[in-house]
Amino acid sequence: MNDYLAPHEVLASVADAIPVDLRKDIIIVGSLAAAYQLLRDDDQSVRTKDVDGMVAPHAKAVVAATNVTNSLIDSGWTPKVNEGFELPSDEQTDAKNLPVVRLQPPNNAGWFLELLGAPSAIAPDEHGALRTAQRIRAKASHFELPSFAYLGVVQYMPTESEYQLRIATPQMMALANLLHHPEIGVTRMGASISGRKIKRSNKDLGRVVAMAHLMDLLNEDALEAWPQLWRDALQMYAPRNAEELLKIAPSGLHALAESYEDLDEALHSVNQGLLSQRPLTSFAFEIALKRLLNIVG
Amino acid sequence: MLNDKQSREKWSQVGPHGPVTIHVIQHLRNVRDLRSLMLEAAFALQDEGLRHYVCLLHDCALKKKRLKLEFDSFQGVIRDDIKNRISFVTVNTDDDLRQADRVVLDITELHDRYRDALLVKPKASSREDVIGGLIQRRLMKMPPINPRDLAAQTGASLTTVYSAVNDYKQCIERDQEGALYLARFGTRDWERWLSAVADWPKVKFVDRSGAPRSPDKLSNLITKMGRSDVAIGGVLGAMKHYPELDITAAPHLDLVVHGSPNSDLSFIKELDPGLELADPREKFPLVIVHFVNQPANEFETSNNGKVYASLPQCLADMWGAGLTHQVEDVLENLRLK
Repeated sequence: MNDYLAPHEVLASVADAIPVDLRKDIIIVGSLAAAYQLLRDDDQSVRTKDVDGMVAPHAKAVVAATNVTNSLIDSGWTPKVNEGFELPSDEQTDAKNLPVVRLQPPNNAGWFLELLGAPSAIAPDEHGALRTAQRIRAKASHFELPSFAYLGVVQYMPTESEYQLRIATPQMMALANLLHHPEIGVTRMGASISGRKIKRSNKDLGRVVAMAHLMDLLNEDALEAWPQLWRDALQMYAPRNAEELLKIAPSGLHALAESYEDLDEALHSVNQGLLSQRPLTSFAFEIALKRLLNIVG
Repeated sequence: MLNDKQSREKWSQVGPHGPVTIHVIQHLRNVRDLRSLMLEAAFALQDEGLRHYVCLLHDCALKKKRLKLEFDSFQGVIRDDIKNRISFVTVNTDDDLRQADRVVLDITELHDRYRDALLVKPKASSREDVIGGLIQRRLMKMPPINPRDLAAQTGASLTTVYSAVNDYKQCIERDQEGALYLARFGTRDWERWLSAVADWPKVKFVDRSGAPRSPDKLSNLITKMGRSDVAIGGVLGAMKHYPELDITAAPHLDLVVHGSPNSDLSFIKELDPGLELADPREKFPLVIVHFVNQPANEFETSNNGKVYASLPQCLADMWGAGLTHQVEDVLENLRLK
């Protein structure tokens, strides 16, 4: 990971390749969305290679994702080949061998757009799986459109950007990450971050802390609105278990606060990503975490 | 046997040649007290076990030249085996304190205990408590008060009340029943009172997060904590009493704790985890905690739940922070003349 991406350049480039009527179906999530929302200086950029776009709502996710994929490929974007997956794939390809949609812009192998689908519900499926997938049949290949159960909350009040692409809010990305990691899981990420293999939960929980820190820098009262926004979002998308989810949400942060090793990994991850231009010391990172916990419990 | 205050101001440490007594004296104002201190040191050194007596003078009003003169005269009249074992060090900076480093083996202990000693409340503060009580009564348009009630209200002895009345006799009058009231309080009286109160012990905190909370935000957070024994003082408190105050923002948050300097201040960490205890000489603190150690505080709770210190206390906090122009502006409008 050596490349810095300027959020506005990337969003303009994605928007350019997609017809206006399809843009509104995409909600940009992940580090680029966080950078767009929180790194307000024009020259600020974020260190990442993947730009995640969630196609929403769930009911039209497959159709919209197919159209977006076709449109980008027609504009010269190229599918990124992942080892172990078949590209191109077709009707005969087993679902587990379908590649996800990862498209690189023309003449730029520095980053790629990855498509996700809005989940059908803010809950694990009937087998307890947090990740589900659907097949999309694009002209160039079949692909897999993965969905992550709790990421659905980013559909709550995303920001309408000047590029007609919607951008997830930090509050909802934070909630999604927290619900996904009520504890520190053991799974480590496939790719290393500056030489270290980081636990997935530490990366995601670290990003929650980093987003809280950056939002706090922009407005010291902003964090206090998070609990109510979370409640509103969950009452809209998961009304039956909203209170239970709210109670669970801060658990991962508590677990992070109690483990020096995990805190260190989380800090390493955000200092190489969202905070790469203004890295935090471990002391300042711990304070940012405690400030957040003071508010969200 | 030493009480807690005495043991915090005076302690024993091991030096290269034997035991050393370290004595911290704050706000030494006159030669009489200095001479008394020298005698105390000389008597202590008659004890054969004691090797050295070091007096650390914090915020000493006597000039170094005067101190040297007094010390030289004193050495001329005491025994040779004692005179070279007494040291007086005026301490205004860390470098000054380092002059005392060579007399003890554990320098860290010396620095830590020195810092702790600065938190001890000075002995003669109660006269200002008494005058502060009378100022507040005048501001609140309250009737004259008899000396005994004033003593009870301010926590001062009757002797201290009379001593305060004598100190400020140009300002205080009695009604036909002997009750006291503040008849006038001129600029010089204010300056004298504010300077004395601003000298009282305080505890400072700095931000270590790199992303400091604003004083205004911290004042909102302290309100959310629901503490009735902690009031907002300084600029933010004065703004409540006097909204026309000529200042746009508070440079730091002044909090006034109803209690002694030994009060539990762990709530500061809950207020914001980025706050850390600072050296008393810190020039840019984010939070300064003051103490009101009277039986009843003069705190006021506003409609929005915020607890504020009395206006005189707020002005003293500002005076201590060097906001003299703003304080004078308020005083001009109070007109307790």
